[in-house]
Formats: sequence, C-alpha cells, structure tokens
Amino acid sequence: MCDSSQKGDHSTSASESALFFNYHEFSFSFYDEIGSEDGMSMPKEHDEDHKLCVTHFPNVYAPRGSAEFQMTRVVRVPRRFDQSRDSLETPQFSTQLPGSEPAAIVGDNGGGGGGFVRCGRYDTGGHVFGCSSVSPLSEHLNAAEVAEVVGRVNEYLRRVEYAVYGWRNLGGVLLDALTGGLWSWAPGPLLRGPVFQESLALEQYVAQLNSPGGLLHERGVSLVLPRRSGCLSLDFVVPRPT
Amino acid sequence: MALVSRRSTRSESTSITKEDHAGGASRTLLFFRWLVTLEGDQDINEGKGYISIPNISNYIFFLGGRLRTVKGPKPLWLAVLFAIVCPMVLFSIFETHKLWYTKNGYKVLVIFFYYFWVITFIAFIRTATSDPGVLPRNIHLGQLQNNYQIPQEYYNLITLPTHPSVHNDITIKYCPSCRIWRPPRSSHCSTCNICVMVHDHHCIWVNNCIGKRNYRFFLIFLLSAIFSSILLLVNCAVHIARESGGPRDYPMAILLVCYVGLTVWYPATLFTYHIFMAGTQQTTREFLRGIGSKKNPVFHRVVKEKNVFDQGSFLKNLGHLMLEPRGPSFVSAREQHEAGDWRFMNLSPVHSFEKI
Repeated sequence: MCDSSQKGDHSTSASESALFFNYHEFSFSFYDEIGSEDGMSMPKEHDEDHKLCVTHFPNVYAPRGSAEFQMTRVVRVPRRFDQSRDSLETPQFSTQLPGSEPAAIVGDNGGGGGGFVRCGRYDTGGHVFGCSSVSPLSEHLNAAEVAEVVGRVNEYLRRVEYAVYGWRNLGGVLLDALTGGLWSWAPGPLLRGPVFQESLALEQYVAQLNSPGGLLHERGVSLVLPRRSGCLSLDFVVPRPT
Repeated sequence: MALVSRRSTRSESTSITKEDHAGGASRTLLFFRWLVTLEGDQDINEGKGYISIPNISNYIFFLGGRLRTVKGPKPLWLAVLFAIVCPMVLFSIFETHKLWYTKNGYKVLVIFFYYFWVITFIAFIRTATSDPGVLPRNIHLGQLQNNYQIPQEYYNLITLPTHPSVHNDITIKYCPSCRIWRPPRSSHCSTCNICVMVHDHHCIWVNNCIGKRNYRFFLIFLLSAIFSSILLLVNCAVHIARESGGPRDYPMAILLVCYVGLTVWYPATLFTYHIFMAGTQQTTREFLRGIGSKKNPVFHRVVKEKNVFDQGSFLKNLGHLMLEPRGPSFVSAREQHEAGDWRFMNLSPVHSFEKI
C-alpha cells in the first residue's frame, strides 16, 4: 500500500487475484530523518523507496491532551475477508501480525522478518515510523501470540450474535414479531446476561487479557473492545515508540 | 453585542452551556434537555450518548435518548402516524360495538384487528425511533497534522481478496465524513450524517434510516400493517353484510372499506418488493446503484446483480437478510461515555471534490 513500486506489482496481477494488505497504512515522503545527530535534521523530501510507512495512529480511545493520548498509539489490525466464508457478514480480523501480510511492504533494512525499524519522524508530536509495514506491535507480541489473540476474538465474534439460525436470534425474531419490537426494547437488555451470554464472553476475554496477569498487560499493550471500535478494526494500544 | 444575544438565545432554547454544565445547570434545563435534545454543543462531550451524538449527526433525541428522529423540513412521518391512528379511532367509535355484541364469534376478528394494529403502531415507533446501526466516528483517524488531513491513500477504492468460495473480490471505501473504513454494505446517509451498517435506504416516511438494526422492525411494521388492514376490511364487510338497511345505515363502514382498499397496497407492494430484494441478496441501495438511481426501485423489475454476498439460494438469501441478528448498538444514545470522546467530535469538514 505504502510503497508505490510494490503496489504497482500487485495491481498488474490484480485482475487475477487481489492480495491482502493492511489498508490502514499510508505513506509520507516529506519527513525528518532519524540521523546520527539527533534534533538537527530538517524535514526533507524522500524518494519512493524511502517513504515513511505510517503503521500506528493517534489513540482515539483517550481524550486529546490526556497523558494517555500523548504516551500511547494505536496499531490497527484490519478486517479481513478471505479467511472464512462468513467473514463478509461477520467481523473477522486479520490473524497476521501487521507487517507480515501477503502484500505488506518489506523494508530494505532488516529483510523479510525484521522488526520495527525506526526511519523518521512525522505528524504532530513527532512520532517515529519505519519504512516498512512492520508496526511497533512487533516489539511487544510475536506472530503466534497475535494469531492466538485475534483468533479467539474472531471465534467469539462468529459465535456472538452473528449466527442467523441460532435459537437466540430466531427466538428474538419471533418474540419481536409477536410484540412489535417490544421484546428487544424492554426485557431484551435486562436479560443480557442469560440471553446474550456470548457477547459477554468476548468482553470477559478482552478484560482478562488487559488485566494484571493477562498476556497483553504483561507486554505493556492493551486491546480495545471490538464493541468500542464498532468492530471496524481490532485495535491494540501500544506505548509510543521512541 | 449581536453575538452575545445569539449565544444566550441558543442556550435557552436548545442546549446548555459549558459553564452551566460544570456549575450544575438548573434542574429544569437538564430536564428539558433530557426531554428533547435538539442540538449538541461542541464544548460538552461527556455524559450519555444522547447529549453528544447531536454534535456529529442530525439526530434529535427524546426522553434521554430512548427515542430519536432526524431533523428535517418535512415531517412526513406525522402523516403516516395519522394514517395509522385515524382508521383505528374511527373503527373504535363507529364499528366495534356493533360487532362486539353480536354473539356470533365476531369478537375474535375484532380482537385480532386490535392486536395487529397495536403491533403495527409499536413496530412503526420502533422503526422510526431506534438505532438503525450507526457506526462510530473518527475511529480510523489517519493523522493529527494539517487539521486531521486525510491521507491521499484513503481516497482509493481498496480491493481485497475474499474466500475462495466467493466468486469476486470485495471493494471497500473510506468515509471522509465519519473517518472510518466502512465495512461492506454500510454507507453514509447524508440526511442523518452518519454511516449505517447494512444500509438499506433512508426512509422519509419513518424519518429514519433502515439498516441492520431496524430492518426487522421495518418488515414487522409492513407485515402487520397489511394484516391489520385486511382485518379492518373483514370487520367492516361483516358489519355491512349483517345490516339489513341501505348504505345510509353504515356510512363509516363504507368509508373504512374504501380507505383500506386504497391504502393497503402501499405496505403490500413494499413488502413484496423487500421479499424480492432480500431473496436476491440486495439492499435497496445496492439495487439502485445497479439500475441507476433516478428510478423508483419499487416499480422496477428486479434485476439480479452479481453479488458477493449471495448465499446461493433464494430462501437462504431471504433468511439471511430478513432474520439477520441486530447486533449491539455501537453508538448508544443511552450509554455513558468518558469526557472528550473522539467518537463525538466533529473534526473540520472535509474539502473534497469526491462524492461520499
């Protein structure tokens, strides 16, 4: 996505099959390079091969101006549609570590499986970015851990309320039809526990990951509840890379 | 001077200023805001959703976010409400007692009419005033600099691969107003100024979008409207059949028969249309895009577009769209949120030549 030469390669073969990439990433060529002499560099234009690849974004889950907003960034794991048939209807997120997708940008330094390499500063606050699709999440979690966490979240989401022919949904449709929609308005929310157990299961799982003793808490990152982000992407809040 | 006076009138009529909010606004003002929330205030972004959502949308909330409608010049929904309530009132005044005291078992017909009428009424209110599936704003903010400038790449249509069992790739798009990568089938409603999941259409008659979370109520509304109309017709016909005198003895029954004869076609046509739409796995929006948006979709021959969402059979498609689970409300008007929540911030308007 970021690297136009790479993108060109893909677009020629796009008629046959599109390749998946993290569409949240974007590139920028006019930036401060992180050089040997810190603070002395001036922003300048860079060529196609040395564009910055923006892989972490403002933490929109913390109010602007708060310490948390200043100290954290968000790495977005995008929705993906080629892992299962029902992913077109059910939110399913990419289980790959950002930077290792089929059409990810691979930087020249570090090779294929390299970590997050700092190249330059960009955006208000002088945030540090690399030239490849590898995000700062790679510094906290490895590919297997991301696959495990996202896989579990996907599994919960598939089960939660997206089963059209489950008894919970069909019962809800019937009761709504008999009461003109009063069912889901009045007793529905009250019976959230017993009737919509599984959506609570996802919330409990995320809370457990983020609480002391949980995997993410240990690594200093946290996962945003899909309900909070509207299931638009699965967002990991990571410490601001320095 | 002019500014001062404008500010003061605004705070009186619509919202509460930050000073009021911080210092504890008078209970009356807070009560009026709970009763009707007409406009948001950029300075107040805390508390419950109904206080903040008007900042970023054209919604008006009532009773602390329990009901909603959209600001608009023509309150056509009032006409629909009148068309629902009026025949029931006339029937109750002029017809019910004649059928109720017959001892011939016609009571059942009367009870069924009232039952379906109540369902129609509630389903209408639910369709018109509930959350159609609003997506949160500003979740996919690219950067802060240059007034939250949207990166050039975000204007591209992105083609992504789908599962091997699906014949086509899928294209997704960034919404420059809501600042999110829209999930498949969702789209931005310019009347409500929000993005809606599985957006079918913005219905001017109920003054709300029809989307994933209220499609169910919309269908129940149409179906129960058909049933209650038919039962009204049957009840009046029974009355006419039992009267021995001339038409002068039952003018209201004749009037109601004529009324039903004229109006039942609207929900009936619309419901049939939605069966064909859902059966071919299309939303009204997708269908309009296929036939050119100038035409009235209801009276157009149903054309089946090649569709990645197609489940393979008419019944499966029908079940999928019509029985689709509502899912949680992502931007709830009743839930508390923290101060300074980005979802309720109106970032600078986008200067773009692209059509959203």
